[in-house]
Amino acid sequence: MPLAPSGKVVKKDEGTQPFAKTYQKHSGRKDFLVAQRAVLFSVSPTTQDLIDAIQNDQTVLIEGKNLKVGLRGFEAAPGDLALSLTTLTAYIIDIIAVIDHFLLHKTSLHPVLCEQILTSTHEVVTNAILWSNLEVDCPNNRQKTLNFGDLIKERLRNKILAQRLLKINFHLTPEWIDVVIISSGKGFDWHHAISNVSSTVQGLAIIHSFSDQVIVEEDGKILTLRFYT
Amino acid sequence: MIYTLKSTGPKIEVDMKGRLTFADYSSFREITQIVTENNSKCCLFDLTELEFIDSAGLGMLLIARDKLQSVNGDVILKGAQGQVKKMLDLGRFDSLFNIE
Repeated sequence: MPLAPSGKVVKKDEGTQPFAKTYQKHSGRKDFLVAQRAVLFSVSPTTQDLIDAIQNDQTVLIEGKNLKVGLRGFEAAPGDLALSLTTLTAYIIDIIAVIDHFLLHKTSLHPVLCEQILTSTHEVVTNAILWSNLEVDCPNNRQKTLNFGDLIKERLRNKILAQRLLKINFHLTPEWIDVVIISSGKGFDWHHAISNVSSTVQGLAIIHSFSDQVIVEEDGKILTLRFYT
Repeated sequence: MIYTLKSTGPKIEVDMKGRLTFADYSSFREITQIVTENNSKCCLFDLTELEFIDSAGLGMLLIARDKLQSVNGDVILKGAQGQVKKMLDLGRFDSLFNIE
């Protein structure tokens, strides 16, 4: 896989990119930080593709042809990690392994904190895939959740749902690490949900237990987890 | 998650490896079906080699417990460590399960 020079975007397998124009077009936006290095995958990346890219300090990983550059999902500074994946890819790849590799090999965070970040990020990513992008309804019966595997596969056969983007950004500062997860499906009333958590095994309870701060924006479609280091 | 099943009479032992997450609903349904078909009264989940569990995975263990309790059976959890142990502690699973 070719390494992208700083500030450039490389389309995997092709070397040059129509994407660079879009990059320039939006570079003046106030909320658009500089993507130092980026890889644009013309085919769905595998888990190993993503781990290799992280290992090579390529901080932005992109998939899809109709990317909206700018907004918060594309912000990345040196040392950060930004993933933009379709729902289908996010489901297929081993996202835990990708994030775990980044935290353990590309940050100097304590392993216990890495574990907390991984656990709570995975919960938010799962929520983003299921409830937001795939618009799966929350079951009212615990036993019914065992049929989720079938339901998820059925939803993934819907191209519109499967191609929705999921963005995961890790932004590191000397004092804290922010993890921003952006879904592109249904919104989510986080405050209502968190006030109605009935069990400590629910994902929301786990997220609150492990993160120092949760910031909710855009009707729950942008969630920022902050962890003080 | 990869699992292996050992059946000794009415007891089933399930060894789990890797990660138990929302991607494992189908696999876990297979386990519960086997437990049901086997008329098992006791199911021991050996979590020694389980590296990671999420809220969905915790929910699956609770489903197994519900199923076994409905036939006056029991679920035992064994060998949890690291992140898995922390998650079980967070969910206060010691008050819900027999833990070896």
